[in-house]
Amino acid sequence: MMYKIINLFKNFGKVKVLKNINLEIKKGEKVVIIGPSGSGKSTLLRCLNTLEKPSKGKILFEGKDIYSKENQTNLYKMGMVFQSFNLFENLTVLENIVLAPIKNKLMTKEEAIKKAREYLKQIHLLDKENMYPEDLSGGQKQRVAIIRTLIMNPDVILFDEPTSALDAEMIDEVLNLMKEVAEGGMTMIVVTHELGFAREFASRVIFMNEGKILEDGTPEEIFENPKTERLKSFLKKVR
Amino acid sequence: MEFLSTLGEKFYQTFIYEQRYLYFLEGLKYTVVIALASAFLGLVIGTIIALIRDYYKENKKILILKKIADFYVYIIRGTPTLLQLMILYYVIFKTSTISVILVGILAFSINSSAYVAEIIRAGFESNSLDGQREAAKTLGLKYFTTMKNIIFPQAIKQIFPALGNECITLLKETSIAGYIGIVELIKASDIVSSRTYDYFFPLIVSALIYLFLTFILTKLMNYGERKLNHDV
Ligand SMILES: Nc1ncnc2c1ncn2[C@@H]1O[C@H](COP(=O)(O)OP(=O)(O)O)[C@@H](O)[C@H]1O
Ligand SMILES: [Mg+2]
Repeated sequence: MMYKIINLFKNFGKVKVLKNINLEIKKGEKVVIIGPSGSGKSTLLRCLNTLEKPSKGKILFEGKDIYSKENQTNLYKMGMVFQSFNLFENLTVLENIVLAPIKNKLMTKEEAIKKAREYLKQIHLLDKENMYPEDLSGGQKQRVAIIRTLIMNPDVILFDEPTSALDAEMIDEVLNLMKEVAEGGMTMIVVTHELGFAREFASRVIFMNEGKILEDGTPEEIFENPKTERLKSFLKKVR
Repeated sequence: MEFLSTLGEKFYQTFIYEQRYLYFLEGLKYTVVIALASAFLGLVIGTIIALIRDYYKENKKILILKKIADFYVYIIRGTPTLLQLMILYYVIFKTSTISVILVGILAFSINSSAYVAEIIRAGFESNSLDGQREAAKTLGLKYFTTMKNIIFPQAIKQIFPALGNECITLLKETSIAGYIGIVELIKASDIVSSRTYDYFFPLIVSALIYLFLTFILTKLMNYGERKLNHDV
């Protein structure tokens, strides 16, 4: 089991955001989390790599508490891709990608640059390696951000609305790269409003509402046979 | 005509007679030395304080250190610079043989560091950097690696104008060093005035020198700013 989430609660002050989440995620799963805005999707994702600290409950990653020394020193094992890309604005594209593998001593500088260039070639951005993030389009930024995460060879990648900040014509280039990553066997947990993508990409879909998991099933179960009224009306609204 | 010749006479008395211009040069020297040294030390101490306060958010174990840093900034910002200077000279270093110039540098460094710490704090806390900090964390980058490679270079760019202002403020504030007997520019012109019974030339010249110094500083800052923005 990659993730085991046990009785997870999260409050921000008096606001109860996550209310008793229990969830297990296996290696290789492609989990898509859907749900109305404010339902706690981002908060759940951010608890999974300790960007947020749970108020109550426990998260095991690879069998060990996520706050264990071992998991804390290897946080890059849980990669994350953000809605707002969060590239390092003072570094070039290439520097953005190689900084973490070098500083974490996963690779020598030469190895990291070689690997980064392979990835950049794969996404057709090799000619942009010396540019700064501000010179890239949103779609290009997000693809670089995905590669920056991939080069760390993580066990899982968490995506928080990776295409929500993008113009329509750039959404596909990012979703396609995510599909390529999925084909490589990566465990992925994706929060998205792209339901078409979810249906085709996910091995499992989770519907969250008001801090709880309301439904959890295959894409067919979720999209064709929604059980709860909440999910039914959510799907109607989004379509 | 007579007016012009008294003016000439006063000029002669102020600068030429007994080589009095040397007082001004000496004053200029101490003003510049104290301002430069204090700006540098203030930046170093201020950065350390800002780092302590910032790192606390990451590691709550340094609470005591953070409280000390907060208290330091509170005390320095809450009292007049002149008072700090005099306490340092007349109380703390009263019996010490340390050079008065060093006491001056120390006082202005400490004073400036508190303001610099606040300026840098604002830079560190800028919203645009929060996301990058989170990204760094998820990539396994350690706090100091992140600060050095990502946050600091960008924060410096944002706060550069404010740091420049602090330098100019500091430069002008060194004019109170005369209170503990340092012959900086104002004190120098004061000495000369007391000999010539004329305030006009000494004060005007001091003003012109300050204006010249701040002019140079401003030019340097503008250049640095453009450099940081890759415009040069
Ligand atoms: N740092 C925070 N401080 C206070 N409230 C927060 C914070 N982050 C999220 N929330 C609140 O928690 C709720 C769930 O937010 P979020 O997890 O971002 O939902 P979603 O990603 O599903 O839109 C919202 O009501 C939001 O306002
Ligand atoms: Mg969200």
